[in-house]
Amino acid sequence: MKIKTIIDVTKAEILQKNGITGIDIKYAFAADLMSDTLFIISREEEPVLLISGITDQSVVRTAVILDIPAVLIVRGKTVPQKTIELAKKNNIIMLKTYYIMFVTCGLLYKEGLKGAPWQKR
Amino acid sequence: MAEKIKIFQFPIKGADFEHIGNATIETRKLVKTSFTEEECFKNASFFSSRDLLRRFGICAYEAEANVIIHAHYGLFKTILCCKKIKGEVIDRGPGIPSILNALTPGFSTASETAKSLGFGAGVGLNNIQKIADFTMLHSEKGKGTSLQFEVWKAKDNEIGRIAMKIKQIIKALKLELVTKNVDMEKEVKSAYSCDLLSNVLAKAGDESTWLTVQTNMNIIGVATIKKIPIIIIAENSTIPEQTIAKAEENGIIIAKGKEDTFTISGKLYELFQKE
Ligand SMILES: Nc1ncnc2c1ncn2[C@@H]1O[C@H](COP(=O)(O)OP(=O)(O)O)[C@@H](O)[C@H]1O
Ligand SMILES: [Mg+2]
Repeated sequence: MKIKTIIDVTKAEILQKNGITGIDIKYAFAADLMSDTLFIISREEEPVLLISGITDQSVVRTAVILDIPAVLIVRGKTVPQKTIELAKKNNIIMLKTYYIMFVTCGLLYKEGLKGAPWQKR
Repeated sequence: MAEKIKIFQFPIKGADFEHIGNATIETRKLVKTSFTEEECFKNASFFSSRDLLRRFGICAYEAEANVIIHAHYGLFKTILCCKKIKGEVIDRGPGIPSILNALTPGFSTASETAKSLGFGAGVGLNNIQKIADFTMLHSEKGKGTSLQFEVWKAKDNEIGRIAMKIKQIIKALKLELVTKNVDMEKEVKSAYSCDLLSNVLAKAGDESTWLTVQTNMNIIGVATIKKIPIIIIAENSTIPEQTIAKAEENGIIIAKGKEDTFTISGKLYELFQKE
């Protein structure tokens, strides 16, 4: 799914558009707890969209560490400028939607995104 | 070739929530550069450097976060050699009064601040334990904590074999690819040579490579059940159209070799062992 579609489907606004051009997102993962996110280490199933309510810089660093190319912030939270700058520096696309996490997931699932399959270790 | 070792060090400050993950990201960059620039790491991509880097990153992040969330200050040291990456995080802080408690999933003494940032789920140490190939935790109450973890080259630890991409196998064994539109990036790390379907069903490891001279359609059924991603047909046996069609339909790769089962087995065995 193209970033454009994600934006349309979740009526998202673009906070930071620099990233991998033409990226085709296949999977999504939604979590507010960074440790949970860190646990999805799907190796082959890429690329993943990270859906989170965390707006701190740690959400970007989590994305970097997991090779996640795009982050969608939910619940319309204000994202600090520092977070956006860090995303820009690391080439991570950043979007924001006013939908709550549940609705965001529902909309994207309906549109065809799959849950990032996590490897049980 | 002489073995090369690289060491990176980063200081970590307690309660420095703004920079949580920084030491990990900086280290990760250095490790990644080493993979592409240093002769002895170059082959790492062959052994899935991506998986290695990711597993290392996750452990490092959790360890770094623990110092920031729970301790006063710490030092994050990384030792990189051709076979593994080792992380050592030593801190001065309150220490862990009960390691057993700390290792219980969900147990957390993290502050509200840490929790509001998505940390303090109480699964960090568990994550490290599960993801790393080796971990050692040592702590002294009132003094500090030391955590060591290692990630080894992809799957090296399992049955002593190396995961290989199917396309690498096909290339290395000079096989002829028979099926089209299949995922050549998939990794396998073991093989089973046998022409009796029932034996394969009973004994072949899941997701291994299968070597046979059988070419009838039933081999695809067996491969599907055993989640075998690739069948190598030895002795250049003729493969019926239906078999190929069914393989493609099920996303199974068929590759053909001129040599006999013994020779291909031997070469593949060497490939899996090669370092
Ligand atoms: N470096 C450390 N210094 C002191 N206590 C620690 C340290 N690392 C972990 N702990 C203790 O172990 C608990 C569990 O750690 P962890 O599994 O990482 O979960 P979390 O950090 O989310 O609380 C922590 O809540 C804390 O009480
Ligand atoms: Mg922790």
